[in-house]
Amino acid sequence: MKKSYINIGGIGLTLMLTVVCTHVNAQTQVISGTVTAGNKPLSGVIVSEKNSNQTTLTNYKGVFMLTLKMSDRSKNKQKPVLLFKHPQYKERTIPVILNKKDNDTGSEGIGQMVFDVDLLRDDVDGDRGGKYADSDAGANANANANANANAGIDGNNQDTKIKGIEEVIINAGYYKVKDKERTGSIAKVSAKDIKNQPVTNVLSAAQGRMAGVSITQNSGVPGGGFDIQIRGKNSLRREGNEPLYIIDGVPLSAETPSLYAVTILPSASINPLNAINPNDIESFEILKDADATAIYGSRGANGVVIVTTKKGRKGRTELKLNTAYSLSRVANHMEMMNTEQYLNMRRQGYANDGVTTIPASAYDLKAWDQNRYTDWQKTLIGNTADASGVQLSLSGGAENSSYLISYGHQEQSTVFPADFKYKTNNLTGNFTFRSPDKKLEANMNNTFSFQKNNVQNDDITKKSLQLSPNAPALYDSNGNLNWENNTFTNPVASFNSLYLNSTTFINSGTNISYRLFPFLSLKLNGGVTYQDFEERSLKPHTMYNPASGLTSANSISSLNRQTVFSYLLEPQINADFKWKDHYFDVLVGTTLQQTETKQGSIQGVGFESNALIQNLGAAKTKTVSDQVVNQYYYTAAFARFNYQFKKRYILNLTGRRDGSSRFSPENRFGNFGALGAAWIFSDESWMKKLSCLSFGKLRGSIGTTGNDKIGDYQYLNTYSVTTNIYNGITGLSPSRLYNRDFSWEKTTKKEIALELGFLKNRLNLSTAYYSNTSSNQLVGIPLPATTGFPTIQSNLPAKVRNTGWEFDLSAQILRAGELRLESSFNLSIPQNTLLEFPNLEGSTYANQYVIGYPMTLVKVYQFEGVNPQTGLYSFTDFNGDGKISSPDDNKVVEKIGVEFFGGWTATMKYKRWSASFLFQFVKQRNWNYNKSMLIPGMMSNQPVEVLNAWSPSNTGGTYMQYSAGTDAQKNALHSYFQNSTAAISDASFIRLKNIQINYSIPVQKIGIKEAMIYVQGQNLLTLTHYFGIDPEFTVVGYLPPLKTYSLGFQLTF
Amino acid sequence: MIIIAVSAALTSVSCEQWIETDFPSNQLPTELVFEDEQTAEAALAGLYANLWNNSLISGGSDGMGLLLGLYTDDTASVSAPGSNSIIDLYYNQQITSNLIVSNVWTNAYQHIYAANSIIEGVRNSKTLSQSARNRITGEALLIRSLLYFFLQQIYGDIPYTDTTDYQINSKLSKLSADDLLSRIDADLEQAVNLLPSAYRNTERIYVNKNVANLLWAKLKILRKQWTEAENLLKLVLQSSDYTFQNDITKVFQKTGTHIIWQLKPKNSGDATKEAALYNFSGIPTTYMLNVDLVNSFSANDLRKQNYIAAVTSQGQTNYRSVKYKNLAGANTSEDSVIFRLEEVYLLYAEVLIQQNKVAEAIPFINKTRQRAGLSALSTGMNAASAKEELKQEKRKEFFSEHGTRFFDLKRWGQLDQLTSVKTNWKPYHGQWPLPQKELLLNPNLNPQNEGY
Repeated sequence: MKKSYINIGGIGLTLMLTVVCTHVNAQTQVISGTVTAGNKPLSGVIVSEKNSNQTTLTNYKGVFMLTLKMSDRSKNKQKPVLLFKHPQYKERTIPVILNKKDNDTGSEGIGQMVFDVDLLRDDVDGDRGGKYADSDAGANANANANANANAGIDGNNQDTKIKGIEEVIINAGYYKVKDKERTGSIAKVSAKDIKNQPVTNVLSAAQGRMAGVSITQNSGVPGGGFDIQIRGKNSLRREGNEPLYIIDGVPLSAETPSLYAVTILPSASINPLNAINPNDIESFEILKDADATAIYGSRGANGVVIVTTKKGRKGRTELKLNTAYSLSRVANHMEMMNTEQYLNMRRQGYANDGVTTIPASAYDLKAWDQNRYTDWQKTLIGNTADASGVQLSLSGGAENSSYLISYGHQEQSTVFPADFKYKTNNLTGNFTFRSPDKKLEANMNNTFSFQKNNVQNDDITKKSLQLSPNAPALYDSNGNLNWENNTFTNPVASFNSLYLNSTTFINSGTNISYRLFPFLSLKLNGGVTYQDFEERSLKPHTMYNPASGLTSANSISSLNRQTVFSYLLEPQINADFKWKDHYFDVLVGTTLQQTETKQGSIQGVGFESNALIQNLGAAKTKTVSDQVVNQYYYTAAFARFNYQFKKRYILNLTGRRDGSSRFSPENRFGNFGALGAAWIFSDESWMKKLSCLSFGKLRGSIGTTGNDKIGDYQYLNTYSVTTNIYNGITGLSPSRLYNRDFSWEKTTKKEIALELGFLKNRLNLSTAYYSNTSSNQLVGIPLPATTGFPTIQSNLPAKVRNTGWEFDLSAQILRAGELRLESSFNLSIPQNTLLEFPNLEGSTYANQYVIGYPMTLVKVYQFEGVNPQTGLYSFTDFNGDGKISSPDDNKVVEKIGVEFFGGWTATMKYKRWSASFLFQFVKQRNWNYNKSMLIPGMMSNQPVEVLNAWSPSNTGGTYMQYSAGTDAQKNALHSYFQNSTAAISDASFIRLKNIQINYSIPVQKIGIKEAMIYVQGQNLLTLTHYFGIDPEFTVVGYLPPLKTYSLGFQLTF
Repeated sequence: MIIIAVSAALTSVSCEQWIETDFPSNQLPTELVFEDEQTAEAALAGLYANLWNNSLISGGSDGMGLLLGLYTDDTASVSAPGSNSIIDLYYNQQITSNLIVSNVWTNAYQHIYAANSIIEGVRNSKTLSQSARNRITGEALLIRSLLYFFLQQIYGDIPYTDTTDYQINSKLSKLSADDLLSRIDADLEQAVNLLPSAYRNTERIYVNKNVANLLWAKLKILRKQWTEAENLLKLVLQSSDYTFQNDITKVFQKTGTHIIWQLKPKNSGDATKEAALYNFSGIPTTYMLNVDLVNSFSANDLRKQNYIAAVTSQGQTNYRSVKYKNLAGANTSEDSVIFRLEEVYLLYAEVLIQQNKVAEAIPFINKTRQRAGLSALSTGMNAASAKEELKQEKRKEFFSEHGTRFFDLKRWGQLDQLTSVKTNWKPYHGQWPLPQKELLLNPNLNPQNEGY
């Protein structure tokens, strides 16, 4: 049997069939063939004859054989129809035309015809196969038609232009939609884009791949958080901008609140997706516009992140082993002063301050070796972190059931010079069952993950920059911490302290559907999530200088534990029916969700010995915190109504009514909804003349979504139990300033988009413009301290608008023989504006925001440079009162934040080789190193740029004359400098985010299905003019993202 | 569409109950807190605990003892300035965005809010007994007055509030010293009337009528109302609750009957904050006593041995305050003293001197002198010399206790004398700046204090 393939080069979802009809007789006919995807045989495709119980599966070579009973058929002249099903591809039905002569004579069909089926179209016929071969360079698609061909495929759709886009299935959460018929804005990253990357969180791998989605990694320390913004910031609160995370249909609580991690993980943030091994992810979708998010109602304002884990496939049992090893280092360093330059700066600093006798406490000048030099960045954050990962998965399935079990283990060390480790274990299981009559389908996804993080209590990145270059050795000759006769605050003493956390995460999502009538299905989506987060902060007295006289009686051990248990029930009814050119798809459902969070901590002080520090029972004094139990109950009714006319005009109506316990009883319910529409104008007959345009769609949507991320019970007027004890009585304190009247934050989203495909969709361009307006801002409004609290929870009558352009361009550049080259590019230009703010001048935000400017603005002093006469900084005195003060002189409005961002990726495949790269680029302004530097001349090293400081011989210096920090005037000037235009600059960068080369080793002969070796690099190259250690950060002073090289091996049996 | 409408209607009815959560187990509705004396007591305990924790009168790094000690000439530090925090206060170069300047303010108003919340809660209570009402209100009023009293002297003109209404509190304006002091005057009068004379705990860890009398007297002295002050102080002096502690080694022992009010550490066995704060061996890493203070003691002053310890390391000698001696885990005998009888003696002496009754005043100065092994002063000196002696005596007796030195010098208009020790001292340093953040959040607090 000869196989032939059409090389259609779609985005991995091309499915081809080569059906060979080999055996025909009067009573039965055996049809066999091969199913392929791309140019690979596809196993596990269910092949069945429609309206009969004949079913079979393709084997690992993609071959199937099916016996059709012809006797019944001849009676009613029914054409046999083959049904091809595969979980990753769209279902196909192909009617088979049987040659009547053969049928009548009943002779055994010895003739063969190979016909190509391109599943990207709804049909194919033998003739057209030939045309394809002509048009698609290198496609090995010559129909090897035998003269005796007696079977063909009936084509009923004359459109041959479209392929690619329409068969991509997008998971929109409650429903799936073909990319072609989509009315909303949904970005998708699929497994193949992110597989095998040396990252522990899928967000790292998704950076730069999706338009409109800005992802920033908080820190290079593993196990931390990400700042993810989908179409900009809608809310004034950091946590109010978090998207909704849905894993296999189950919503996750956003961030894990940590009590002790803030000194090592920026904002103490731990991302919930840390619990998911990126290699277990099948697809990662981000819902952006109103049409896509309104069905999530009150939780959809910031977009929805939908993670779908891999499913088992029907077919041969497959065992996959994947191992990888990687090495990481800090990607960028700053050039700091050497000892000579540094000491010179220090001496000048004292001289400039008029201090003639340098005090003994200036140890760097008075006590330490004047010639010693250490590159502290190299010593403290310059280690190579190694990481290893192994993943083993077993999958397979029979006709009516399939399974996938996967186990992964990852271990990652840090770049700090100590033995710290981040470990994750993931076990996922997916089981699918389908009743033989195909009416009932049940699917269960279980994810179990265990993460353990062990790091020191403090990030020493800042210290590595600031430590005097002549500071003494970290360890003495005996290997003990060196305190240099109590003159040295040893930075690695903090390694004696530990921050440990462990997270156990179980997520189980169940999906049952039953097709009650051909047009009506009942569905139940349910889920249970349990997360147990435990963290410890151990601070033995040995982290402090022994001269302070501390003993283990001062050692502190803290334990915090939080468990979240949540369950979800979503019964749904789905109906779809067709009437002539009209097609309806209706979904109605309700949501019931209850979440209970329990949290409590214990602090123990004083131990007989530090050996007992992990055992809180051994502490002399123990303080047990308030034991918090928070309940969050949530309910909703939602509906979707989708109407298609002639498959060209599509209307999508979604709505949701939400109730949340986070609001006072009178404010609990809210309505959200959206209308989306699409017009596939390329299907209009008058458009067919445009031969270069293969696909064209105009779509738009409008609707509202909400946000209820404000914490539980905020509307109650209560006293809380505190950790304070007075005379044995546990104190009660007022919990908050209370406000019963706050309610949903609402975001109105509008979008219009144009999607075009050219040259048979080899070139696709999508352009979207959106405009989202958030009103009723739910924020803790900052209050002056005289109110007793820093904030009050309230709806702020302000309007924030996010608008922007998004462009996605993808192209199949080259397809010649076995060489393919594909590339895609995305660009987002977001803009954020504060539209309205009644009484801004009189509000507590008066000095923070300006109407008409983005919310990321900062008001700073206008830096005028260094006065060449005095050597001091000068700033514009806006109110002319002769001195610089706030708020009258920090009048300059600086927009910090992103101007545009995007990514460029290209993939090349040749025979067994494939390679790809991804460049991420961000154009932005942000705070630079001037913001965080201590006054030059103090006991703190400085970047070499500071060498250009004013002195009598260098009156053109850009920095003020050095000062040892003993002069109040200079200190004040420095603090203005830190908050001036000089501390904000361009922080744009272009980063080679990922580069990879894969080679598939030819091992099929020895019984191994696939063996692949791959090399990947992450963050290898960064081009930037940024003044600071790395332009990617959310909070200054933490370890920047790392540069990683990895080598991996994947074996499939 | 009908299906949607029907299902939406159905769920909205049945779901009211579905989202009815339990009341959080760690919280109590405010109105319930004050219907029960036990829980009202717990609210008050929360306030006392915070006074110990981080208030102006805390013995730790948030309290005036350390902050004003560093600010004046009691305490010193080896650290370098420039971090816009506590050390900049020591170098007298605090700017408006100084972290401590902001923290002290924020903490104080937080405690004032807690006091106001208690006063309001008790006022709205339906079931609390009259005696509990009076006592709890009196204690909260007194604590609030104490905070305002010290805040006013640190920051100058400050806002005053007696409500928990944030809409009012977020737009407060400053009151002039005179207006503010007369408000506190009225509040203290009320507190004196409400508070019982007896201590409700023999350890004297809660305020009573005499604490109110003493604070009221301090206010009267500030307002130069000498006779009122004299009468109030007399009430304390004549009370049978107090006897002078003649043993210098027992001045900071919690059982002494010279103690008027003290704060109890959180857990039994916990050290006082002061003991931990000033402790060091070897080279000081944080704070030590100012050499100028140490040198002001004559060699035979017993306080030099009992209140101060010399620590010699690597050829240098530094001094630390050892008024409180018991360290963590082993403290059974010390609480943090807020007011003690010695202060009443010296205030009384001051009031008498101000009224030119020098001869009557001297014996009250001699009490602490003689306890420290010094000779008694002659009653024949003039007012100016007596005042000078009083100043020296107060410095030596009360160093690193709640900023006594700063308040004395300020009251006497002598802060500028600090320039001999504190080279950065400027006349405007008599007040801290108002926290910049607060001015931004509430422009009604403008203008900034002079000089900043």
